[in-house]
Amino acid sequence: MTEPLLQIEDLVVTLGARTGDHDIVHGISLRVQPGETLGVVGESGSGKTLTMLAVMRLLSPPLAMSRGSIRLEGEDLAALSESEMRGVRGRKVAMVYQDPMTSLNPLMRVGDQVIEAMTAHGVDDDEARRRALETMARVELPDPERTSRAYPHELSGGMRQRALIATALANDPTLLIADEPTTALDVTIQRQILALVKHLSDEFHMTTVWVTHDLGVIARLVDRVVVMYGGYIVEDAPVDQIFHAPQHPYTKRLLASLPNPADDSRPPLAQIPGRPPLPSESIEGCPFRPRCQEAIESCLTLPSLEPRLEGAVACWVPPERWG
Amino acid sequence: MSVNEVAWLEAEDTPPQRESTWRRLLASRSGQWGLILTGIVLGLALLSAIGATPYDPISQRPEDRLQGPSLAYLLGTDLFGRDVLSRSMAGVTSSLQVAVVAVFISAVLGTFFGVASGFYGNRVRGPLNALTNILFAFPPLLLALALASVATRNWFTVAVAIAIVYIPIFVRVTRAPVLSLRETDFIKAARVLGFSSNRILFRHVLPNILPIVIVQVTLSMSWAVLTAAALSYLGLGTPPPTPALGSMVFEAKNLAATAWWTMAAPGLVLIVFVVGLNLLGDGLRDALDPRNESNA
Amino acid sequence: MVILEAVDLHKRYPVRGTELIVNAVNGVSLSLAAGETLGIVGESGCGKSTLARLLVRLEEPTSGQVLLDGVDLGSLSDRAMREQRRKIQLVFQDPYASLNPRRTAGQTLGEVLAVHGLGGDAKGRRARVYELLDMVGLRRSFSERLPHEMSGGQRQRVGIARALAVDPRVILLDEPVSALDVSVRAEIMNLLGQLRDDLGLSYVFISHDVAMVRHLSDRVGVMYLGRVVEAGPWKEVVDRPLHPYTLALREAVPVPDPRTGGELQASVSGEVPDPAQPPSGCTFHPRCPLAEEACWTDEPQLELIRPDHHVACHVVQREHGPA
Repeated sequence: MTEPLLQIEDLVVTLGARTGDHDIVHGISLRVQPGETLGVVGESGSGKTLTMLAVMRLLSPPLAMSRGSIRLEGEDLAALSESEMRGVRGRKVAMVYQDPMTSLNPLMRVGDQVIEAMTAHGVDDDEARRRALETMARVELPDPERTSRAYPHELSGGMRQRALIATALANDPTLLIADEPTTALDVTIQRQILALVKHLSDEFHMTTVWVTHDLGVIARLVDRVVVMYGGYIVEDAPVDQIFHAPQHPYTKRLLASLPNPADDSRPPLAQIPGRPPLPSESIEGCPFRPRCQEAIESCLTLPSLEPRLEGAVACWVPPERWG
Repeated sequence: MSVNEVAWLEAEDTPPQRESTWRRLLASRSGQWGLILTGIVLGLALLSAIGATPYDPISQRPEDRLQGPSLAYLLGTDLFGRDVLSRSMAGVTSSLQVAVVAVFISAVLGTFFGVASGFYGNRVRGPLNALTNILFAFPPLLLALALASVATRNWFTVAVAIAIVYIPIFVRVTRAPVLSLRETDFIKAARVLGFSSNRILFRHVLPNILPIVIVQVTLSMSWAVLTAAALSYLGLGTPPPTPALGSMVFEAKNLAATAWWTMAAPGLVLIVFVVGLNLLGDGLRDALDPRNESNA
Repeated sequence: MVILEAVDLHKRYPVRGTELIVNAVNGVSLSLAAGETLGIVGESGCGKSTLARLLVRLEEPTSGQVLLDGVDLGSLSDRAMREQRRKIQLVFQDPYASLNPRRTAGQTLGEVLAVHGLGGDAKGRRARVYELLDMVGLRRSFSERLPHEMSGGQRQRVGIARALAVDPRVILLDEPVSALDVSVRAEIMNLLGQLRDDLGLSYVFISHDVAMVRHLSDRVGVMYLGRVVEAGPWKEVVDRPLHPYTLALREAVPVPDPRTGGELQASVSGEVPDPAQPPSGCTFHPRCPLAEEACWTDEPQLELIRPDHHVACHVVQREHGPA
């Protein structure tokens, strides 16, 4: 079994508040294999973004990683000094965010930002210039020469996102983390970006983590899916199993609540009562318990993530016993 | 009841803990210090206002002049044998008088114009903008000087001079939020629901900019106190014999080396007051936002 | 019986600092029958939000009319308009911005009743407030809550209750669930459907989420750069679209099923053009795989192609002939 590219063990992210410290991510573990595309799915309060920020060591007070380890290619990221970590950020691990308008420097030409991504890591100017144009062509930006001279506000949303992806890929990172990069985009543009990332991922054997709240977006994009809820991982399985044989009631109900495009009778949607827990709320036992139809007495005790079929699930009640 | 129902019913029925603004103010560092510092100064002013100063601030006692701080005179005496502590206390009262009146006038007028121009817009906006920008372009102190030197000098005209200088800040500070509030969904909803413009203005827009105005009042108070002190330092403030912090500093200018207390005391009082007001303003700004503590 | 009608609406905005004009709504006509739900889909720049504002008279159209129950809203005095306002209400997208942060739910709803003289005295209004909260599935205790003490879904319910408070005939839903957590959307959608059936309401449902529009609408219109390019029954427009843009839109909608075949590809190239400088002729032609000579010069009009199914496309019109 090859060594995972990214290995997160028992990660706890804590928020220090005036009224006392509070855990937001509750000891999660996951592995990403080299070349794999992983989808991390969760709603608000699931902890998915904080987990990625922890990987990048970008958590700032009052948030902090209070327990656990994060290893990139076997190396413990927490043990690195800040300047060593800077060498990792943007070079070994790159992150693409939701809003390219705020993630790109509005006062700097787009091409210069792609160049800066490289020169900040020691690449010389001429080499960086050359590679910048190459990368911009790779992300299918039309007329890279001309586009590189544009400012972010002069570009459309989709082009800005491509530019952002270019800055992320400029240094050929080992790992690309994309945090809701298409959420703010129109659906046709979203499709373009998804196709682009999939294509790049396949062509360059990139390892990618795709973070989103939209299950549909990742269905055809990823190899494996991790479902997060209330700061816990509730299910971790290959993509086909997640969609066709979900083992956790939350995953199942979430999928079932979507309108079925093949059903002409258009029945009322399979709704889920209640709402996701806020980071400030503590729930006894399983975080999904208050909303779960299958909840039993044991659910007052937090279930651990156990292997089932081709993945893992954190639930005391197997699908056979669901009502 | 099933295992899942109990949890939700409990959570949804419990009325949320609503922390009062006062509590939040007391809880923040800037709020605490702001209250303490301004409290001290206001306390002194209050004592002076009811005549409870250790000595009469105005009467002179030449035999006791330029004495250092002692048990008799806690902060020493000045060139004319007047108790520095008593004079400082009285100085605060007169500064406060000028500042409060000045800020009140500028807040009321400035907010009125700012809100009107933000809410009713177009026709009013152009000329108002121009006027605001002109006023804003003048260095506040120079403008205050010019205005103060023109009129007959008493504490009220000084206050008016300062008020005029600080009207633009209230116009600026209220106009932008009103403009952006106009575009928020709940204001649009009010229009779609057929609410009259007046109702929207008074019941929905004003209450939402009130916190901003309150914070600005606190900050403007600190500037007004400083400006009043500067004016009195230059001899353009409240005329003597009423003690004023700025003129006290001016009088003590040449004595700084030999009788440091004559300058240190009024200066210190000024600093404490201004810093306290600024901290209070910061604390209030955080405490007044209803959204601050909840939903992380 | 037609309850809401738009007749050749136009809304033009000048672009500041230039001579350019944006035709945000460029000749839109539609009609809504009593009890019907009309869905409007489109991406950014299509004008659906502007259209919504014109329909509820938040803005005056540059030309064209809005007829509510046969009454031309443009011809009314302020006083008369206020009366008419009761008939058509709006539910907003962002639950965080749609309620006054300093008013409790009870105060917000109570004020609406008071302004319109509904509910009688204070006691009667209070009773009606409880009734309204009950209709949207909220407990009475919610009337004491401030917006920041409620979740997004709960806020949205209050927004719906507010719209219902005036006993409207038509409700405009502007992306009512897009800003909510995915697991909460089904409940709100079901609530909207149930209210429609119980109260006999008519809806104009505006969204970029094609699946949701399909779920709730009787008829659907597709907008692109200020014009309606296709309109007809939901089944026709969503499942059997004819216009190349609608086809691309449908193709781009992510399907939550990894087994959906084929390579992940963009459904249409390019981006929505700058509305201030739209392409000549058919504004979709630069991105359209079917574009012909006529498409560059002549703007296509909506024509009846199949029963009740209108399409504005030269190619489709020629190939299918008039119905």
